[in-house]
Amino acid sequence: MHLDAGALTDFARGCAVLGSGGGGAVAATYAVAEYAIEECGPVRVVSPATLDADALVMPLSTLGTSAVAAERIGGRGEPARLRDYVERVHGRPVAAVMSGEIGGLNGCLAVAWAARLGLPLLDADSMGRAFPRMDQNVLELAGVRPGPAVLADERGRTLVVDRVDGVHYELLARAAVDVLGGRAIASDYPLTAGQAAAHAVQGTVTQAVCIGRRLAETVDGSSGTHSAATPTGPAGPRGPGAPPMSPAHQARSDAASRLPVSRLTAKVSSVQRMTHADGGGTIEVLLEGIDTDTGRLVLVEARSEFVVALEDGRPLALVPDVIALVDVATGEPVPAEEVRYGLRVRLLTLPSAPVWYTPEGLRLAGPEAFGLHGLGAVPHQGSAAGNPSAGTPGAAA
Amino acid sequence: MIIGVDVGPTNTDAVLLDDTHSGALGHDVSRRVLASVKVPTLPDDAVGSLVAAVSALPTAPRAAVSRIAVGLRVAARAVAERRGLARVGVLRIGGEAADAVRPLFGWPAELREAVCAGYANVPGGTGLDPHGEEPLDRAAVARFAAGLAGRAEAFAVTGVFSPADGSQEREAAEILRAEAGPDIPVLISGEIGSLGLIERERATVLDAALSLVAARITDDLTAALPRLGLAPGAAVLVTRHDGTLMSLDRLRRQPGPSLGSGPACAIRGAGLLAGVRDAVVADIGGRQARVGVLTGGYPREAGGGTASGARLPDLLTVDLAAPHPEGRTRSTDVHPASRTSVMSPGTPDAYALGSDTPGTYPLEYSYQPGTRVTRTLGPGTSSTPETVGTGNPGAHPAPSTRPLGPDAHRALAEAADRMQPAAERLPLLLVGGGADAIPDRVLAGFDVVRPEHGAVAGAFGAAASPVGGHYERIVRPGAGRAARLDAVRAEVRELARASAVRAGADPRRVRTELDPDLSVPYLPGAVLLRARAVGPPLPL
Repeated sequence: MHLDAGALTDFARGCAVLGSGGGGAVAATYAVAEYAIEECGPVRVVSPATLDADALVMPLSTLGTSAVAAERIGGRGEPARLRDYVERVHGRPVAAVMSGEIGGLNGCLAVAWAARLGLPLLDADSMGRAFPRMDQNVLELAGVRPGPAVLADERGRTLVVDRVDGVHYELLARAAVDVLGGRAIASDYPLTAGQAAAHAVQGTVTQAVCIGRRLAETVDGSSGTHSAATPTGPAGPRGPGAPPMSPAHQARSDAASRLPVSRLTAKVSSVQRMTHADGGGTIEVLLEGIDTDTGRLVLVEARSEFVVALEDGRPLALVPDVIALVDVATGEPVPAEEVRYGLRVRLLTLPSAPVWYTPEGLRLAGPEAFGLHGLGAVPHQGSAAGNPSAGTPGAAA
Repeated sequence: MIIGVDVGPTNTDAVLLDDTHSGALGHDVSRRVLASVKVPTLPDDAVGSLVAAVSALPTAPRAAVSRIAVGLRVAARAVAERRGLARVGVLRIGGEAADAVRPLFGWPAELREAVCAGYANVPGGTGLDPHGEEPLDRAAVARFAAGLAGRAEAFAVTGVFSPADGSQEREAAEILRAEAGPDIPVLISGEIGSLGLIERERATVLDAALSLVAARITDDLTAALPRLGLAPGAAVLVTRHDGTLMSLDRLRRQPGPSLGSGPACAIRGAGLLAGVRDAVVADIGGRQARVGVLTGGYPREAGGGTASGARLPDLLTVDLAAPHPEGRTRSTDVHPASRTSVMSPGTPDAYALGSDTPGTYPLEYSYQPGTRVTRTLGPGTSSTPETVGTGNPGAHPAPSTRPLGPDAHRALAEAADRMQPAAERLPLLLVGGGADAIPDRVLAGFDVVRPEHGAVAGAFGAAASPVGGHYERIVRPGAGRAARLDAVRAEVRELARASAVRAGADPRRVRTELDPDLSVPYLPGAVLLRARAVGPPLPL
């Protein structure tokens, strides 16, 4: 598959959904990726398994804040400088780029850098969604070490962090980014293509494109709010400009079959923001069903990302499930920070990668890790393993 | 006496206001309306429309008019139609650390070609901390100016982190003026928007591109003044998108704030007429209804402070005329600098949404010679309101005779609900020439208020508003935090005062107000400090 400017639009929207309300504002890196593709051509997206198993893969993430990333947009020379540093540290060439976090702004960052470097982009990433902490990724679960991690800002100020575990790395990197003024790009959890094939979340670039295309289809020319529930699926009709995807490719990317399910159409009837003693914040959004969902009440709670949607005290979806609110009028996913009273939204949910539902995955990034206790079973837990309704939007509504 | 004028897309409204009690306008404010008129807007002739409206006001008190405040909406049309735009030299200060997106990338090619005389990205840029700063390459700025000599009609300067430290932008502006001449307009982004380099740069370029339009309208207005028969030396002011006013001189130097000023004045005027400082306001026009929010007496801004490039009213526009089967509420941030989509932060065509220009623009204007001049005389000149005119006597003309369908009604009610800050409902002020066409039952559940003279709320808002200015800066004080913050607060307050004085306020009577400190999301220790300043215009 090649990711061109047309597919990039769908991809970016899909990344916003997979951000589960967080992961940083997609707009900050979308323009960067669009410009990189215009100057350097479309990006080749490959499955990790197609590369030499020993080939070096460079994962990429933005550290810092959206507000600063929107100001310090970075430079065209930045990717090559960081790549050269990574190659010096490892003593061998980088063969491919991978997003460290498909949800939010880091999806488009990896596309932009792959274009600038002329390298393929892996159809995979380290989270399959967005999480607030750098060590909340599936490579950590697989025992891949964070170091040697290379961090650099857009002026080339560079740090190498090594011989640390995930928690220690998070602390060191955050402190460094603070001193660097709130923005740096990191290539951490370096790995081989073989490790990426074995441990990364597979197919997430394709998945994001599929999700974004679905959103576009359900809004363009839409006469109402409910056509959104029309299932088309990854094998369904595709608009012009869609990337060519072979059936074999689709079969390979199991993430591409994980598509959002529309759970509710609602009006935001209250938004409460709370700041905790530890500096973190919670946003509680009360959704009041409208149209055919009139009478339903769903509470959605965000801690950086949306982490739980509760109806009648029971979770409709619970982290690590992806939970997204999509503006009915525009089809755009709404970041948790920007939800406000009166907005008409659809509540979408989809399961994360299966590994997040294992005991180790739940310990690292499950409900308890977000301070959510005693919520019982995770509704999506079995769905990724073959629940037929998982890929059929509307089926669970 | 003060005259306020609102040159709308369909009608031009004017009000004559008694300002003999110079204190704050109180609850009896509507009694100060001595007269109001509504005349059809002349196509492509904002100043002509203004003259027609003012001429329709009663003659006698006009010589006592000391101030006229005008909402023109000319700038928005210029952008929407790509007419009369200046060729802009686009300068970015950031160099290789900020070239991941080319200036004006993502704009429609024809707009880019119409506006861009050339661009350069020179080394430099500031930061939150001193070690974030790179020295400005002064020679590169001079070379850029020299290279565009005779081609650029204005310059737009955007430096990385200028909302925190604008010193390099000002330095570059001086170099540009030294090279290209002292009269060339140079717009600097730190005075126009907040964090978000690309959006702020776009807003600054458009601002610069409007220089010629602003100069022309200023000249036309000045030339038309003698025809209005006002008192000698009467102050002439134009409206801004924050609900305040600025002088013609300020408009010439920085035209951007006039964008979105029509809705802003209607929102503010509605609040003054109803005697409330917090409300949702629906301004019903002939083809569109605009729903905004009045907060503390001024329009709520779009984008929540740091997200958008400029300080525009937060609006939802409901298309009342389009034959769509569904509600057509759409989010209109009315400015290319504000976010309209996850991916495209502010396309230039977002401007069209703020300019009363539906998709089929240019549309018919409801100009029907000899009709529909209505005049309402208030208590200042007559004990009972008196209406004269050749058409539709007894009321201001409704801009549209088309009955509105249930879909438009539903969309309007939804928009009014969406703009509420929370479930406890604020009053809904219904104003504008088309307000009478909206029956109460459409807005069941709302506390609907139809203020007296609401049909001319925009013109009233212009007449009753002060000259304004503002300033904001992002700081990360670090060590010695409290003392440093206090010093910066004082400076921000002073710069807001200076901004109001530059806009034409009387320096002796400017009041400043510091907003509560805002934290910058995800930027620990950083604070957004903002101050607003208002005052009466400086008498000439």
